[in-house]
Amino acid sequence: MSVRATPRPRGAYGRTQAPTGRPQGRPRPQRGPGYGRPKPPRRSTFRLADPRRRGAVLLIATGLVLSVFGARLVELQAVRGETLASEALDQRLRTQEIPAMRGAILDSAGEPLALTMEARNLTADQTLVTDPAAVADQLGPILGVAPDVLAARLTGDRRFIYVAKGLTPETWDRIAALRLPGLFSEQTSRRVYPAGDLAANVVGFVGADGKGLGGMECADETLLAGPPGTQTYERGPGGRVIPTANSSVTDAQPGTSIRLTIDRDIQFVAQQAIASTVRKARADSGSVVVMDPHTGQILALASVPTFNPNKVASATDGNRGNRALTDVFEPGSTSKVMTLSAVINEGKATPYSVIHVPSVLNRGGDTFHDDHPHGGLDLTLAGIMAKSSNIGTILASERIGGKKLYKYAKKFGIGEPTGLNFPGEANGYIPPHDKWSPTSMPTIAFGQGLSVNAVQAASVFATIANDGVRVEPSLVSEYVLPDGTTQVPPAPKTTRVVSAATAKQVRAMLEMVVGPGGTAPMAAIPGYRVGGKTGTAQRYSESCGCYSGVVASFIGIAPADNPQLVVAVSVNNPRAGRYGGQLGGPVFQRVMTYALQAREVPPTGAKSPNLPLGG
Amino acid sequence: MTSTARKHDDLLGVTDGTAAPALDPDAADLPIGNPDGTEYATRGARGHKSARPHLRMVAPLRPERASRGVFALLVTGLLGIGMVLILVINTSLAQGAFTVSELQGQQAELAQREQALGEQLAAAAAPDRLEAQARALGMVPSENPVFLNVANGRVLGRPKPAVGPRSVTPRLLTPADATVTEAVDNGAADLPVSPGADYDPAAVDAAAAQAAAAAATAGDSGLDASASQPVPLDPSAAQAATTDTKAAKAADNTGKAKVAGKKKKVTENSLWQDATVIDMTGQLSSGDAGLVAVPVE
Repeated sequence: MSVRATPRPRGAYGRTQAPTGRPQGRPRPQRGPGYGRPKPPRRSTFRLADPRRRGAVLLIATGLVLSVFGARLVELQAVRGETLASEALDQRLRTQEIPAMRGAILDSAGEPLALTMEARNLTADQTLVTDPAAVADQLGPILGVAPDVLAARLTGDRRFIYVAKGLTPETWDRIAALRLPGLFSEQTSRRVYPAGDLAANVVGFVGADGKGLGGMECADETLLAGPPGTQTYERGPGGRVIPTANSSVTDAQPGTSIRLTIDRDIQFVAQQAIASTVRKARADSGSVVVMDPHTGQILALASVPTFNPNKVASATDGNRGNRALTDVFEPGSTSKVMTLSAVINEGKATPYSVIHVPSVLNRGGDTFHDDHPHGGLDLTLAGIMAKSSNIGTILASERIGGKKLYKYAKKFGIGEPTGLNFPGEANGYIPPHDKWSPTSMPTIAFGQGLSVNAVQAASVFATIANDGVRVEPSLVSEYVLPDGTTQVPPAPKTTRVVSAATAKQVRAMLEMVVGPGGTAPMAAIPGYRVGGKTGTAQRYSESCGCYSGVVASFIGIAPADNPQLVVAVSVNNPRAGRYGGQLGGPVFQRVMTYALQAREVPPTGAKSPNLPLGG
Repeated sequence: MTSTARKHDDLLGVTDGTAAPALDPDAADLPIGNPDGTEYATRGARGHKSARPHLRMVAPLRPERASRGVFALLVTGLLGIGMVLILVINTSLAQGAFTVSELQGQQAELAQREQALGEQLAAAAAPDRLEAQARALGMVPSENPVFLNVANGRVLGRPKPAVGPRSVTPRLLTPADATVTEAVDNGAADLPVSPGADYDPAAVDAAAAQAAAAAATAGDSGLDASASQPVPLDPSAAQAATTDTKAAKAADNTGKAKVAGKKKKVTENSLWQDATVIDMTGQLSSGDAGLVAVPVE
């Protein structure tokens, strides 16, 4: 035997073991006395002492066990492998939504009207707050909440409760600095309207979940919100993130910002002016629309009473909407502009054409009057406009007939969507021509029996101001994508409604309204040529289903010889004062004066025409 | 029995039955002192008991023992190095994480600050706040849009004095302001530094009106000069305007009378409006405060 045998595995070493070369099945041979230790007694009787049989048994046993293992292995890995793996992953895997940063809403100059700010929600683990009263005393002054209210929220055994929501990061910093146990914060965001109620009815507001519920916030919700991101990570039993495991983050994409056409300075003046008039006239509501007639852009859209979007909860539904778009009214005399434009455009009259206006007129079984009683008068078309004669307008409209009148009204955008896609927008209504009753024709001619919203009414004048071409109104000047690039919304639809010559003649007639002898001398702006039309329409009241009160309005254009701006004012149900010229005129004057300065529109220096009013 | 003897015995026992196949042919290579020793050993295994004393057991074990030691050392070393490496990696990862979180904290803090300041700014720049501030400074909205054509001195629009209460007395410059505005340095000596007994607002107004006229007639150069004056919302603009009066007096009077007369009428009791008009030509853009007329062209 070689000496190499010595380092063999221990098994081969054991002196008690039988050498392999020994004949099998035999009891272990005795060696010399004292050679080997005393045998355990069972060895001699145990049959497995036979190494070969023992090996075989062991092999089989091991094989059996291993095959059970193997079977289980196949079952776990091959048969149920994928299910189990995904189940396991599901246990560890957590997916969190990362909210996208909401886009801002800006005014035409890029000044913010709505912003999203980082904020914190203050949460508490009540079991960790040892002395709720003391903690509440410390928090009270910081949060501006009564300590006993806070103490109630901090007492109990809930592991998670919101104490306060929407704190500014600085407020949270102050609380964190107190190192109070059991208080935690949660990141969130809050919508801020830095200008308060300025343009609130256009901008709208968001709900508690940060989703737009009114105004542009609602209209362009998907654009503003942006696609949320997700964060996926594996976490251990303790909730801790497993750092080396797979994790993936899909970043949220910030929302698109919207630059409106609203000029916040003009908007401010418009809101101030209409608010003070509505207050003084003790009216229900009022609105002002300022438009650029060439682009259709709405520069200001004021609606009062308004609300503060930072405190939406305290506002009524009506005040949150935009009355200039959601409320319709019968336009009254401002509608005469449409009728007389149509008559001129059809070549059936000129501003100088004289029409005999009787004191009363019977049509369709009804008797029509003018606002101020008069005997028989000879008025020119310009005079009919300046004096706002209902009878004169009816007589003029009969020169073209109802079908044409209806066609023109539709072309001016009456009863059609404004194209702003504003939430809650009302389209107004003009009955289809084939459903007209005998009195429809005369009433529609002077602006009753059809309804418009304030923007539609302004758009009629913008069409005249833009030499007869109607440009669809718009509120968005551009979209600012998260990467800083801008996208201009599609160009507004344009429609030629009347000829440029007609528009010019109508503007000259409108100047007579503001001039001496017209119905709205208060709307005049010294140095400028201003054209406009008053309206004092009977107001349909839903509460009684009848006419009650009036809607006083004034819509004007300046400078009349080179129109740059249109301002439409309407005052709903005034109790002190009644006439459009009286109530709307001064508001128009104030807003237009400011808008002309802000838009840097100098006076043209030309003299107003002096059209004859009477025959 | 000694252990050696037992080994021999054992070896014998093993070789007894299996004979030659158990023999290791490599045995010849084993470093045994006597080259013939192998022969003896072999023979001995075959049964020559006389050869037994020649068998020796010690030498062959040496190299294996040594290599095992080295191996153990190697493994231990590798293990050690591995552990140290893991430690280093973990430490550096942790260090990186600390740095990242620290920088993130800094970033968050700065972002917060920026946001808070932005919000403050947005609120302060809101039109209602600006209007209130302007009114507090004694400004009133202009009644009529009036434009001054700086090329030909023509006034577009119909100027009309602004109405409204003068809410505060214009604050005149104090010596402390001298460091702020250079314009004061020149005339500080002969200018009232505070509203004294002989202070007459109307005189100041008239002076400002004249200055306005001078600025209007002086054309571009005059405008440049006024452009360097303090910002219009600062009351010290009035002082600067008064300073200009001297320049106006010294300046060429030609063409001044007509415009000055006009302007004077306009601005007699609205110093602020007019002082603003001067500065605006150089500094103001439209729509800033909603309170002033803006010249064009």
